[in-house]
Amino acid sequence: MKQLDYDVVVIGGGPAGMAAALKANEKGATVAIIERNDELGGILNQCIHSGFGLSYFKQELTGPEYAELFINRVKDSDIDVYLNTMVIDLAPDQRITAVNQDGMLVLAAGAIVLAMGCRERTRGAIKIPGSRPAGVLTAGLAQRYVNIENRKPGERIVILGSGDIGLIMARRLTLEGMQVLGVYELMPYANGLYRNIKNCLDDFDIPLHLSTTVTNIIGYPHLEAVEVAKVDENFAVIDETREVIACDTLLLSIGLIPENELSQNSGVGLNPRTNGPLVDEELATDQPGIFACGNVLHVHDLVDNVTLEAEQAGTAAAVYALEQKAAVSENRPAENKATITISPGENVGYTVPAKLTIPPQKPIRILFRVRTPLDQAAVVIHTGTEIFYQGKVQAYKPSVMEAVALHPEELNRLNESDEPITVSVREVKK
Amino acid sequence: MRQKNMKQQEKMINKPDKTAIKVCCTTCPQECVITVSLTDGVIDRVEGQGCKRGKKFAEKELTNPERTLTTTILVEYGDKVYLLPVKTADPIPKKDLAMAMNVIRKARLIGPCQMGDVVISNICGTGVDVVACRSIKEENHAC
Repeated sequence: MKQLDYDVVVIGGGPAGMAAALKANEKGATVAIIERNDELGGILNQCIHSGFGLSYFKQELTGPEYAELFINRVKDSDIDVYLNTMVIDLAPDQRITAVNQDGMLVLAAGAIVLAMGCRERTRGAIKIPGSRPAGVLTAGLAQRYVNIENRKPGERIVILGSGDIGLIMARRLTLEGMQVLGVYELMPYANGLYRNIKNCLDDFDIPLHLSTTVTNIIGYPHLEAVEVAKVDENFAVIDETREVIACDTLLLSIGLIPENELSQNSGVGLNPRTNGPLVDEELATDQPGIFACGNVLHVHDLVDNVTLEAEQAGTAAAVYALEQKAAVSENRPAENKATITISPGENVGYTVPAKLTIPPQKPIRILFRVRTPLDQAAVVIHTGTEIFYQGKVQAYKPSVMEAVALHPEELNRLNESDEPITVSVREVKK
Repeated sequence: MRQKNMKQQEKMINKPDKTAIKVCCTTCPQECVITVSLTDGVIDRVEGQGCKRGKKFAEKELTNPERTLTTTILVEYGDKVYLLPVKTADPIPKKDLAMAMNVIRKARLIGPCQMGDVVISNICGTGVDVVACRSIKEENHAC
């Protein structure tokens, strides 16, 4: 068994892992990236559409271009990259066990960055009744088939869920000559970004059916049809609207789940609202020396935001690892930090971070998503008694992640109370 | 029917036909809603854009909408076949997307290649090149 030792080990070589590794390396840490695929880049490699990099690179790039710019930076650094290597355990003592074709690897790390990304929800998550035929697959799997493996999933396609991947696949399959019959969305509003509704559906006259879902899967061993039906405001199926649509492929674009089985092995506590680790403003989890960033922490809609978050996690991990090393050699005791909770309030689904070290030293950014679309609302950050921050009135959508930046002086008063701070988005009457 | 037409004509003679069209800009994630005002079918005012690109986008959207086309091309390299992601280096007219796809789908390339290499020049006479979105090297994932 090979034993290796690094200041920082990054698990996952997608956009989050690469950005975290580069920053940690820049801070003077020895760094390794462990990646299970045969190349770096993660999901960007199959996201061949453009729209990436507008804020980070100030130019519009496709996924593979965004990935290659980072892959080149990693190659030019002295970061060790382990491809085709699967981490099978992350022990509470922060020992990483991985396997690849050479056998087993054990890595000791001063700090670990979790950057494993997320996976797609499947049919089982929403319990669609019916038979279990071939031809029912997630939108991201179809994307891999079409954009990387050169395979065609079918001819007549129905898409359930209006998430961004589903919308992008509607356009992609149409361009490749397949017939996309429609996109069906359970909610009364679309889940994807507006640009994708417009550029992927409207441009190609693909209908979007809101408040409609798939109620039955028909055919065996291959999909022959799906039954769709409208739902009422309580999501109950309206029987008289049931309709059977002949198709050979059903794509599911019904949400993403941060992939945290490894994190849990190490004892990292998860936030039930995001299914990602509970982190503070440094993106440190509740396990000392373990940091998290990107879609393993919470699902992002823009890779530019993933990169920024990962750079922060990579920096924090390097600082932690190098300080710990110094503390051990100088025999200094570890510092104990006081934290308070940040909780989602009115109309807010979750916040990242979910806790804040006090007194705050640096400006902090709180990311959040609203639970339902709001036409006119303002973000308010408050305790039970005091309002710290009030944002401008604007429209909010669940598909768009929002950020609020707070300065330490705005939060200075927090030292005195242990009350949690709450992030609310309050509707403003016209 | 005839009467209605006459009425419309009268209206056009008496005062200019003013209309406002709302366009949602998809240049960046800001999604600005831009109002384009037309007088007699001619753009006379563009409002609501957050940046210069928005004004250009809204004008284009009403006259000749353009989109960046992204797709893949098969590349043979050594004894392996790779799917190369490609894009039009600039947006091309929306009406030409299907025609461009037909040309690209029939194309076969011989590797290796570098990101940014022109793989088809002046696609369908649009004056826009199709370029490689990644480098293809032997160690990359083949299909």
